[in-house]
Order: sequence, then C-alpha cells, then structure tokens
Amino acid sequence: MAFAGAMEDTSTEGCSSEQGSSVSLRSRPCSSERDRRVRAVKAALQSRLGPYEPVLTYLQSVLVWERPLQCVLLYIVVNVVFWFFALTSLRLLFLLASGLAVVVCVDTWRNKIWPEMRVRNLDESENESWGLVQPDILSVPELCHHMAEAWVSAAVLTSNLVQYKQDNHGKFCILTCGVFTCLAMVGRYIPGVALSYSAVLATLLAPLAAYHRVFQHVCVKLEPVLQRLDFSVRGYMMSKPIDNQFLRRPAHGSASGEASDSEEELAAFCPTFDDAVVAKELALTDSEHSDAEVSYTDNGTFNLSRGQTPLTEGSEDLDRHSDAEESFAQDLPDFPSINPDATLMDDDDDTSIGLPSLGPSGLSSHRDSVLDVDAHLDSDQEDLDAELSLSGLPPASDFAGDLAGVIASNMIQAALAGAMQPRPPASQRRECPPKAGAQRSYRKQSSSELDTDLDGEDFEMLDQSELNQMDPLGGGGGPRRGESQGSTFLSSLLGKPQ
Amino acid sequence: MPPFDKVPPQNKPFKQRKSLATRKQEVAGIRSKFPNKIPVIIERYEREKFLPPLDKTKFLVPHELTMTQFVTIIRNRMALLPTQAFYLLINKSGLTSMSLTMAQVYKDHQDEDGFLYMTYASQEMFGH
Repeated sequence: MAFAGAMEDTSTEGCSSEQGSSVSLRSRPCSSERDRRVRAVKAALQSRLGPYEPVLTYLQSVLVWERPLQCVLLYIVVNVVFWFFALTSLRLLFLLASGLAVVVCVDTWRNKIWPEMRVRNLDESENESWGLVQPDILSVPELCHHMAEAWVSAAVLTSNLVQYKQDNHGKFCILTCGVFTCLAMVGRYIPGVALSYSAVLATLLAPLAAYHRVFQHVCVKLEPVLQRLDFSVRGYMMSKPIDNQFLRRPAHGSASGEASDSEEELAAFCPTFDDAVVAKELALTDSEHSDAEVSYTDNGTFNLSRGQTPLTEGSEDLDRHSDAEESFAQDLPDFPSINPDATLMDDDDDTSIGLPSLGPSGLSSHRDSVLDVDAHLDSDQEDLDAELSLSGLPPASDFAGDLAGVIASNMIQAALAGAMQPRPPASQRRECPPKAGAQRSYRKQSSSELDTDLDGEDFEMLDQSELNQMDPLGGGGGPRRGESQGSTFLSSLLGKPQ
Repeated sequence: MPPFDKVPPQNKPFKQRKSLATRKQEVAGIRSKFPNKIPVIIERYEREKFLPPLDKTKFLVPHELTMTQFVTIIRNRMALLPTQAFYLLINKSGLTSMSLTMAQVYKDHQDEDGFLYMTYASQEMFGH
C-alpha cells in the first residue's frame, strides 16, 4: 500500500496538470473519496499485474472457452486437485505445513534468486512487455479497475459493519447469529464436499456466464412470465382494455397472447363476423345476462343488440341464412362516412349505429346483422330468441326513446364503475374459463344455463326488473356493485319463483 | 522498482528509444511467436493535455479487428468517459476509416521496422 501511495505521488507530481484535469473529468461528484481510493488500489494492482498481462489474457480466454482444449485441461486439473484434497487421507496439519513450505520457497526464489538471474537478461527486461489486445476480454487495467472497485467496496462494507457493531451491539449480535444459524443449517444438511465442489464449479463457470451475458438473457426471458404473473390491481388495470382476455384465452390458446390481443382489438372494431368469435361474444353476453350482470364495458354493442332483441316482433322471419359478407355490406351504410355531406345526409341514420331508432326499416337492417350472427348459434339459441320475442317487453318499447339518452351515460358510468372496482368482475370472470375449456363447451354451458335459469316467465321478470332498475339508476355497474341496486335486484330475485 | 525506471524513457518516443536494428529484431521475434497478431505502437501525443497516459506502448492486435473495435478497447483500457474525445492518428499523419481492419491498416501504413505507429490525442488536428 505504501508503494501504491508512492506511485500515486510520483504520478501526480510527474504530470500534475494533466492528472488534475483528467481527474476532474473522470471523478464522480458524489464519492470522490471512494474514487480516490479506487484509483490508488487500481494503480497498485496494475503495477503488480502489468507484467503478467499475456498470462492473464491467456487465462481469461481459456476460462471463456475460446481455447477448448486448454479449457478442458484446466477443468481436469482443477477436478484432480479438488478431489485429491477431498479424498486424501493426509492430515490437515501436514498439508498446511507443506503448503507453507512451498510458499516460502517460491517467495525466496522470486525475490532473491530471480533478480540475480534477471541481471543477465537486463536488456530483455528493459523493454516493457506487450499488451495483448483481444476483443471481449478484459484488459489488465479494466481487470484492475474491477478488482479495485470490489476491494474498496468490501473495505467500506467492513468498516460500516465495525461501526454498526460499535453503535448497537444487540442488533449486531442478533443479525450475526441469524446469518450464522442459516449457514449452520446449510452445513448441517448438505455435505461439505458437495458445497465446496459446487463453489469450485461456480468459480470456473462464472467467467463463462459473464462472458455470454447469461444473466441478462435470463432476465429478458423471465420478464414476460413475471409480467403475466402480475395479479396486482395495477396489473389488472393494465389488462382492463382487453377485458375479455380471460374468457377468450381458452379458445385462443394461451400461447399466442400478444397476437390474440391485437386480433381481438381488431375484431372489436371490424364487422367481419367470424363464426367462432361472434358465437363466443353472444355466449358471453348471454351468460352475463343470466348472471344478471349488466356490463356495458364488455362488448357493448352486442349487449345493446341483445337487450333489444325483444323489440323486433317476428324477427325469425328475417333471413337468417345470409352469410357474413352480406351482413357486412348491410352494415356499411350505418358507418359514418368521411364525406361531410354524406354524414350530414345520413345524420338521422347515424343514430341507428349506437342507438336503434324505433322505425322498422332502420331497426330491421340493424337487427338483421345481429340475427345473422344469431343464426350461427345452435338451435336452443333460436328457442331463446323465440321466447324473448314472444314474451316481448311493452315497457321497453315505450322507453326505448329515452333509453337512447340513458344508455350513453350508462356506458360511461359502467366503464367508470368497472374501472373503480376491478376486483369483483375479475374473480367472477376468472371462474368462468376453467369451466369452458373450448368455445363450444362454453356455448353449451351458457345455453344450458339459460335453459335452466330462464323458464319462460322467470326470464321475463328478471329482464324487466333489470330494465326498470336500469332506467332510474342509470344501469350502474350491475347488481353486485351498488348497494341500492343490489337490494332492489335482490328483492326481485327473491320474489322470483325459481 | 520498474515503474520508476520506466517513467523517464516513456517520455521519449519509442523510435528514439531504440535503434532500427533492435526494433526490427523485436518485430521479427514477436511475429514468429504470434504470427496472427500485428505489432502496434501506441503513444500519446506530446502536447496532449486531457487524455491519461496508457500503461503500455506495445500492443499485439489480431488481424481481423476493425479500427472501431480497437479504439473501443483502447478507450476502455484508459477508462475514458463517453464524453471524452479520443482520436487515433496513424503514423502521425491522420485518421483512417474506422471500418478498416487492422490488417488493411497495417498493410498500408506499416513502418520500415515492421511496427504500426499510432498516436492518440483528444483533438483530431495538431500543428507542429
């Protein structure tokens, strides 16, 4: 250390101006004291290790398997040495004494005999050694820098520990006892040979792992998994916009997570009626109706159309066998066009996009697409439609006009309520997917649920109460969310003969 | 104490420290020992004020290394900050394309003794 200090002094004296400027450039403002120590240790290490740069570079390249043959040899030698010490019957004192004797001999040879021999080839030693430049391998200054950093960190930690021990004895005692108890447990149950062999292997493999950046790769691989495991409220809020992800996942397969997300988002905006998706959508809304949970946030359009299905008398008479393109073409005029004149002309028709007018023409065209979609469902779905349309809802047709205004605010309120209380629907929805392994089974389940749940009269009461309650309260977040809504719904549910 | 002995001669340029014959002999020796490496001499520009001195002057560089990689390695060796400018001048004459490999640079700019001389500075131009 004294030598290092001397080195520092001479170097600072030798080129003080340059050093000063470079120091001011390189030093971190927060820990100049630490930086100074690091530089001192680094200079000392560098002066020691400088002459051995070729050896160190060679050793590094061997350790990172750039020279496979030598690396295998190194591993064999290390294993032989390890197992010699592990299995030898020699006593510890013998090993210690002979090792110390060897160390003393080497030290004497290096410090006394080698300088004598060195005089002979002074011209050789006078020219400085070569620096080996090799990409991806640390040079000696970098190596020294890292070692100095580690050394200074360890020194600071030690001094902090000593300080801590002096300040509060009790805590230090408890802390130390805890750590050593853990280590004792480990040592009690795992044999020492296994521990030390794994330590040796870790030492041998650590440079390889650092060289190939295994840790970073593992982090990158693990990150999506960890994100998927994020069940906190924030994580759920993040997945809220693609809300039915949990329900759709069984059908899509959980492997293609991101792809299905974008696909679902697209499917929500495009009226391309994929059979499976549409059937699932309807099955979902049906099940939610049967659960008496009015949630407009989820696929609101389908919910709306389902809710108004009773309005269309004799809707079965409409052509149910038109294919998807036809329904798409029928829906096209309902979309707002870019041309401002056209939008102005279509202004009255525009209401039929979100909110159906009572006129039979617009209604039928709007209904048609939905019923086309319906046609792809199985037959009990048709039975349900028949029931719905036959039972009818006279008050529904009455307030369908102001329903137009109410629904718009309902949507917003429901979305807000859903955002405020994400937990209950989450648990509720999460129950569903295991039951529905595939979408067909899910559809079956929902229809059977409907059959058992809604026996003609019962369904009428349920739906009516729901609609009545939706009118004054604005539909809120379903009966399970608000207390008052819950009570009214509960009374109607209890009054209903099951 | 080698570092103390070394400090004065390092102030002199490498070419003035050794005779041409010695340098030639050195190059021949090192080329026979490492045939796939190029002997490069890197020295600090005399009036350089900002960059620290390198710990070594002689370097053995692989043929296939590009100048960019080489400059990066030297920068790491000197522990330069990203904000510090660093230019490597070949033969005290000027910069080369950073995409050239060391073999190409060596072929074009090698000295008569077989070394490739480079000077580093924090400015790309300097006058004598």
